[in-house]
Amino acid sequence: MNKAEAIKNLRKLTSPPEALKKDFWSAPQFAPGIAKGSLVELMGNARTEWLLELFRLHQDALIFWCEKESSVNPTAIHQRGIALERIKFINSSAHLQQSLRLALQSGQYPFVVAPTIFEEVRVFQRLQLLAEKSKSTLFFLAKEKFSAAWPISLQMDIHFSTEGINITVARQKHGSQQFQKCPD
Amino acid sequence: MPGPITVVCIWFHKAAPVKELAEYFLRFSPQISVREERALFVEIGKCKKLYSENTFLARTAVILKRTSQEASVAIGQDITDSLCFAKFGKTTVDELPLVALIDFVDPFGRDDVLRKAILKMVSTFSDLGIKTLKDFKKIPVGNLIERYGVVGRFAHQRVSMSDFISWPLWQPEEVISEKKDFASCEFYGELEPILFEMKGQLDRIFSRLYARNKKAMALKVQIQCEKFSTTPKPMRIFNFQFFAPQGSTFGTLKILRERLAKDFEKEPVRSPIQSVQITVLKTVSFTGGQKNVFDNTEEQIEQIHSLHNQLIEMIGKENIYQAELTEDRRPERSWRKVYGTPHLAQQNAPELKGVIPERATYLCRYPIKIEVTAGFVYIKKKRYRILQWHKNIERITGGWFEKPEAEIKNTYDRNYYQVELEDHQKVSIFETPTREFFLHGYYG
Repeated sequence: MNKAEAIKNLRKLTSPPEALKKDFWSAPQFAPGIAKGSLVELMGNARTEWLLELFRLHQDALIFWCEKESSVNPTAIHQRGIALERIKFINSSAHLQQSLRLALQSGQYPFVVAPTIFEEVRVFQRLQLLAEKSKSTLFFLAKEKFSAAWPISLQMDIHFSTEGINITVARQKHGSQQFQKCPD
Repeated sequence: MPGPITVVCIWFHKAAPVKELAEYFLRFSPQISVREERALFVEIGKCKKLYSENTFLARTAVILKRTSQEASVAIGQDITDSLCFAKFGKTTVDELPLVALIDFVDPFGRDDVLRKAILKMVSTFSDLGIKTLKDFKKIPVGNLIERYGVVGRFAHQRVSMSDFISWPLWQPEEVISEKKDFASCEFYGELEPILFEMKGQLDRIFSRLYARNKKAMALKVQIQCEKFSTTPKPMRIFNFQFFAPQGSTFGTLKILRERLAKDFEKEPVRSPIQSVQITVLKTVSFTGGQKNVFDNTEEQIEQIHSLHNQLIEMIGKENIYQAELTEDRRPERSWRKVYGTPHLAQQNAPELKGVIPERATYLCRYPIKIEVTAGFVYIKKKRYRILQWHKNIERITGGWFEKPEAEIKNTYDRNYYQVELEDHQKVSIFETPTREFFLHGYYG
């Protein structure tokens, strides 16, 4: 057995039980679902539309939306069927990490949105631990390229296409909710 | 019926913290009353064996000087006349102008309806040539009752000093404070031991507040360091104004830690800490009750408030907000920021479904001027191919009705188009009447 096969076998052995431990958000056009308590990075020109669709599916969850400066249009969010009182908007660049830390620690915001401005893996690692503890999902909105930081468990490139929204998964480490349904 | 009294009135020329100042006069007499922000009344008749009126006036002058307050002081036989003497600078009731009738009738300034009625009476009598209270007293009481009813009789009784005025209760405000003095050189300016001590103090403070059905809205933290030549500021004072009432140590300590950590980083403490004191400056009432074990909504709200307080402390109030829709059709004005209402639904939100087309998810900070040519748009000198220019036009115009006759500057007249560029990037572009195109937002 070569090295690649060994790794493949090991993954087979470990992935389903790992996935079983996690809860998932059902996500539009993404059957595996989004794991709770994980870091997700989104890129592409339809990332926010897809994200808003996800938020619309889960109406009870509060949202903590961080930006460097105000650019997202709340009117558009309302038009996509999301109640604006669910969202707390934060504008900060210097204190973004601390704001995210507080929001995750509070455990009151199942969805947290932030731009990808961090470079240090340590920062992602810290946020991932907090997200896992609070079962919040932290969405990073990337602009041009995905971050190489390993704590990000899902990276999705979401684009408009002639057929609608097209999703390409660049990285997926947290399994999927299908494992939950049929572990065998 | 109580015996004769001697009342001193201190009339402040400007609005003053009368309740705090009243505490200085507790050493002279326990019978004190205040008129909100303007006047202080002290009964000194029963203490005449302890000090004379002149001594009292001299001491009052010293207190006013120390507290940098400007005020007139007068002595009278009751609240009403002493107030008017101080306010109008007269020494007898007969000399007082007719307008003093308002203060005679309502010396504590609490009844607006009554004041309005008396003002009307004063205005009428002034037209009839009655200028002073001496003239007013000459009017037969029967005529006053006939013309003004109970208000007339009341005014007459007050001016002839035949009415008993009850003193509204004033008590010095209760101060909740916790202090710990440290033995010399116990520790230097590390933050953790201070926070450890503060935790205990906050526990005790919140227990005391809870027993009174109150929560803290403002706290003052004082850290006293030893006076060293290297410590230019031995006393550090931090005032905390909370966005939402605080009732637990857990949330409050986080807020305190945030501010202190910043301050200690900016200006390290270089001498031993002598004492730490926390004082409650402002409280609000709350309806305490047993914990609801079936529903933790209240706890969640308190945690969200606590988080909000910490964020305000860190990034400022203006950077944390919720959004509310407005009636304005312009995309940049179609919503507004709302501060301080964590997750409360908007009342009477405008209905947008079917009224306006789907808006861009992101708006440019300012509209960016672009060039549109056949099949292409140039945004910041970069060329993009147009895949589709949607035919639906949203026309937004307005502003002219606000100042129809003035020079019209603040009008707007825009035709919005949804345009799909290469890579299926949708953008929102508007055109002005001068055929200029601007990029205003983008989708996704």
